[in-house]
Amino acid sequence: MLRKLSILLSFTALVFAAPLHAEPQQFNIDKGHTFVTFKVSHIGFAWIPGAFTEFSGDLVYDPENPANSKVNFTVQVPSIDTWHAERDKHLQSEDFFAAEEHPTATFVSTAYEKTGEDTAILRGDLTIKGITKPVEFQVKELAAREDPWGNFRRGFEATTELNLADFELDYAGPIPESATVIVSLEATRAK
Amino acid sequence: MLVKGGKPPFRGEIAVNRVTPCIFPGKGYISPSSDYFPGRKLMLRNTTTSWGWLHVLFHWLTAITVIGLFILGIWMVELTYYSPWYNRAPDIHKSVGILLFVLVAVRLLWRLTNPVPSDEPGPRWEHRVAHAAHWLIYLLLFAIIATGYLIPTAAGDGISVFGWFIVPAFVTGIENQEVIAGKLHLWLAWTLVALIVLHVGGALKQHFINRNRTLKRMLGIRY
Repeated sequence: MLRKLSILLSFTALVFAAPLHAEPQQFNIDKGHTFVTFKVSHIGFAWIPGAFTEFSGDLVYDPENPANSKVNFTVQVPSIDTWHAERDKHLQSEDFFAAEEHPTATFVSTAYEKTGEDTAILRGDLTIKGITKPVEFQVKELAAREDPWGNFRRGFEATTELNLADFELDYAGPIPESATVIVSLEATRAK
Repeated sequence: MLVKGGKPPFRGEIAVNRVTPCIFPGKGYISPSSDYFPGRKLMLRNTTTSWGWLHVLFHWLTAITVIGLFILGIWMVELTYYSPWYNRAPDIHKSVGILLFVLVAVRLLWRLTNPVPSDEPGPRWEHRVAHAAHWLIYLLLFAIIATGYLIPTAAGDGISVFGWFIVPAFVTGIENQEVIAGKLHLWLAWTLVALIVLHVGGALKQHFINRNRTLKRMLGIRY
């Protein structure tokens, strides 16, 4: 009886707790469902997909005032994976990422601007190979609701097109000129 | 100058033959069944006084392959993306590397199951250094081949040997495997080159200063 009551109470608390979080909310990135991927043209032939498999980040989302939302992201460059070891090795060399000298790439947001019901633009400074440039991600807010395991979960997809020469990654140029970066991210609200 | 026909040679003519390589039986100027030197046939197996021709063949085949792979390796990593050799050179390097592994493995087995000629006259420390260098060269060859193998196989791809067969990837997924293996591969290769310089220097010293048969034995010269 007491057990049932406590379950009921905690459930009620959970339901009513949501509106109480009117301030920016801290989210924990779910690494199992977050993917830092890119695709880049092989000198104009087919696409090479790739991913950075090691990363960490902080996400703050403000549902009341989305412009207050912030994200910091750090990617471990040596974790680059394009499903071909010799290419991965080459990508980490001085010709491309110079991973030994610059083992991390970072993104620090400067602005988050809603452009529609579930779309937004995320602006920030991206640093790759020690070179910092402002970039703009097109963001889709995919979902924001309870997941099946009792967490409040948000899902995003952020996409941008990077000019490779901006970050001195144009070794194979002039084609490809750019790479598409797609970050699929899920995060659960910190309790 | 060459000794042919049925007459025994003059002294001077033998001297010419002394520096003439005779690695393959029957192909050299002094044939293994030479009428002039009965009972001194070039043997397949080593004896306690000389290397057999198979050991000599293994040695020089290894030498040529290793030097070739080293030059190819140093050259190919500097190729630009648009070079016609950008893909071909590493393919050749990997294929020959795998074949070198087979060669060195068979060679080592042969070496371990054959008699070893005793050392030529000379200081004991020189023999010790020489023997240590020989085993270190074997060890380095295996280490260089292993680290080389770990580079392209790091993400699970096998190595195609001239398109004849594929050596599958056995070890994958070590963190940053291709980069670490690549560095080791390069530094071990340079270490091997240093040892080869020592090895060649030693052989030349034996020949020109100690004036013994060490170098001649490895050239398959019997006299």
